[in-house]
Amino acid sequence: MNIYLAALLKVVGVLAFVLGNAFILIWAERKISGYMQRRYGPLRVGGPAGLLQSAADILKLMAKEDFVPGGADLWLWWLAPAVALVPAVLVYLVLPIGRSFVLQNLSIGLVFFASVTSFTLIGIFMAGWGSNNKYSLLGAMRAGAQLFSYEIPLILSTIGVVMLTGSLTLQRIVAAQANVWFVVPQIVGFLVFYVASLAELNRTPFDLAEAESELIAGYFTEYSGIRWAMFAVAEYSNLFTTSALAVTLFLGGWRPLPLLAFIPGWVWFVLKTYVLVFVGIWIRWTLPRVRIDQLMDLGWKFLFPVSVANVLVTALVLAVR
Amino acid sequence: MISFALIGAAAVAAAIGVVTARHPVHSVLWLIVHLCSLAVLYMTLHAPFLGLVQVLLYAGAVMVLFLFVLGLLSARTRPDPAEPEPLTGQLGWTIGAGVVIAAVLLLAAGAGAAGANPHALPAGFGGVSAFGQALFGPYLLPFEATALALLTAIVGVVALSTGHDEAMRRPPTEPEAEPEGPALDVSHAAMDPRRGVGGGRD
Repeated sequence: MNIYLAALLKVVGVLAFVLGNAFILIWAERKISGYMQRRYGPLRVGGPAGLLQSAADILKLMAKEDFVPGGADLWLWWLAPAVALVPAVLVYLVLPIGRSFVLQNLSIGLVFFASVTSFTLIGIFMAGWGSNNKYSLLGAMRAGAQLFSYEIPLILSTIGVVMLTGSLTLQRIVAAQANVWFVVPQIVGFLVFYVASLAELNRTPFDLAEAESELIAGYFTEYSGIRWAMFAVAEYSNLFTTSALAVTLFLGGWRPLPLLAFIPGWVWFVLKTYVLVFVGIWIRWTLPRVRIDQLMDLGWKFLFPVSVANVLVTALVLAVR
Repeated sequence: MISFALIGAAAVAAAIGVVTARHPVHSVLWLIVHLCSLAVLYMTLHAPFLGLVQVLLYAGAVMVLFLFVLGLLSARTRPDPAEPEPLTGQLGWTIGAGVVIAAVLLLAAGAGAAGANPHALPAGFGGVSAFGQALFGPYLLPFEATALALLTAIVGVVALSTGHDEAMRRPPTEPEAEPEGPALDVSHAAMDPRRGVGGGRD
């Protein structure tokens, strides 16, 4: 096949998945939060389960006025949602979806993932600073401190897996989990990774960047309509891809459970990822928001030393063995 | 070659943006564009790992710190174009230094092109293991020296800022005895408006 045609197909496929994923997750979050609060959630649009609630949401957002606040830095204001969305889309490139199903099997896929996702923060900053609004700016500053602090334990917690595999290729990391998933030898790494990834995603209990009770909506306070939707789509896409990375690194990726190998790998991959996404939603609607000093303490005084200790212990075990 | 020309032009344009932008935050954002162009250049030069690390460390971490500080310091300020230039004669010096650096780089590039064959790369060049071997082999001493220099800088910043804090926390005068009501305890003192926000408590 023509390489340009293949590239075009990949781009269209990923974009379709990103939108479909946001469509499902927005509905799922409304529904799950509803049941957790002893109410029904959406009921009316698209059948008794409210399946088309997201379609109604999208129509509403597209019809809304694209409001620009006075004194905004226009360039940064226009560009910020795109800068936040592009890394969310780019990381699909390296996710190993099936045994031989990965869009681009980069030899340094894990580094690619880390460096691309670090860009999200720049989009958030551009939105918060460009809005010319104190709540937006405070939200962006909090997001900066938070994402910056939690990126370090997040990356360090993956090092243990890389040491066990001896490769940064995500497909090889999955291949190395043929006998036992890395969640068993790297349970500490997995827990650090999961907590840090929730903080990276700006979700409750770590959603200080958009704490409604103090900051209205944080860095996207001033956004409305389709630009706000771009931030929301990016957030839900990041929720999926970060969970997918956790599945790839620690939960065997596309590898099936024993005796169930007749189900194809990509189904397992998507299924495991959505289980982790559900856990993320579950945590969001169960735990209250932490304070900013608790957040910083957890990141720097607990997760960071634990992740360093995990790397050292892994190295020691590998050296002794 | 075409990609080199395109990305190089983008890098140069972004660099010009850094020095011509009127607001420091815009300068930093242009610098991010520039650093990302450099990262792509590294990738076209068979060093994909270096390129990604460049994005991760410079665009994703160092520049974010710059944005953080500048955003806090200059949230509302829009520079006044009529303001006189605080550094007199900087334009001449900058252009002079730029010409010298360009000449040195051109000479070095010429010497390099004459010597080595760019198509004969060792196996695994630019990969993670080659990168690590170089960093912890021949370049171990400079690498560790850089780490020590950074550590010194961090310790210095912490020492300076905490010393400053102590001076701030000390009450400017002896607290007057309150004639009625209980004596101020620490938690009340922390909320005393006379000492400013967060004084004595963080």
